[in-house]
Amino acid sequence: MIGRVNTGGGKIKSVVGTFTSNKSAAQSTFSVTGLKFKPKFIVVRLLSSSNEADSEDYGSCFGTIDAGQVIDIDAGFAVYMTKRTDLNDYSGWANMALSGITFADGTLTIKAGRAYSTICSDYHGHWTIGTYEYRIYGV
Amino acid sequence: MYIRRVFYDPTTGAVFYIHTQHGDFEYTQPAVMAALIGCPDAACMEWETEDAAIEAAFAGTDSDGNPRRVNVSVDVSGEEPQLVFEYETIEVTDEDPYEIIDILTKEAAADG
Repeated sequence: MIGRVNTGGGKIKSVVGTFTSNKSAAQSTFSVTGLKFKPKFIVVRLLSSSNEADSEDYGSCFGTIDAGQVIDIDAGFAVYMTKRTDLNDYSGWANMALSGITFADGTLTIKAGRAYSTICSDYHGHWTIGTYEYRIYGV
Repeated sequence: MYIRRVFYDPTTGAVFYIHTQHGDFEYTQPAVMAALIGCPDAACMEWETEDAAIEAAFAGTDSDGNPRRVNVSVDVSGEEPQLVFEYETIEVTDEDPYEIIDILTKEAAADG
């Protein structure tokens, strides 16, 4: 058998959706409410950017990066992937996986990773400006 | 269940946050999410069933499949708030969109 996931006997449940991080209201976290299951695995990826990569404001520094994040809550780790590994030096993901994710009363909140932009020459801790797709799986 | 929400400034119509959810979840009040995104005074438009016209308006591609950037605001001048969509064409070229980064990186390296 290939790719079997141990769910402890429970049926896998999921919520799939999108969220935006806007230029006027960059999100340091995103949340999903009303979950009826315990989340175990999350995938978040940037679908489209809102702004140009340069000549924009502080919040749009990563505007054109194709990127995704995978989080295994039980394992306590998260990885960040981008097609341009030379562009940003992402750091702090171990801490993000353990302390940046909360789940209580059906609300899951995920903090953005901390990333260094060579364009802005500074660290940022918000979700890159744009529209994201998230997939949350659990039992 | 399905939900789409648009959180916006009830005075200016500027959009703070747009999200969708499909799957195993239960309805929560918009105020819960408004507080979570740090905009407790935001107004909210929401759809609990998928509206084909609305989904098409939010889509990242036009009817011909061409990629586009979707900018959304809310017209709050009338009795009922109305979504306002502005689209920007995303030009698809064979050029490396990250070339500028390579140039900047090389310039920075040359500067020491």
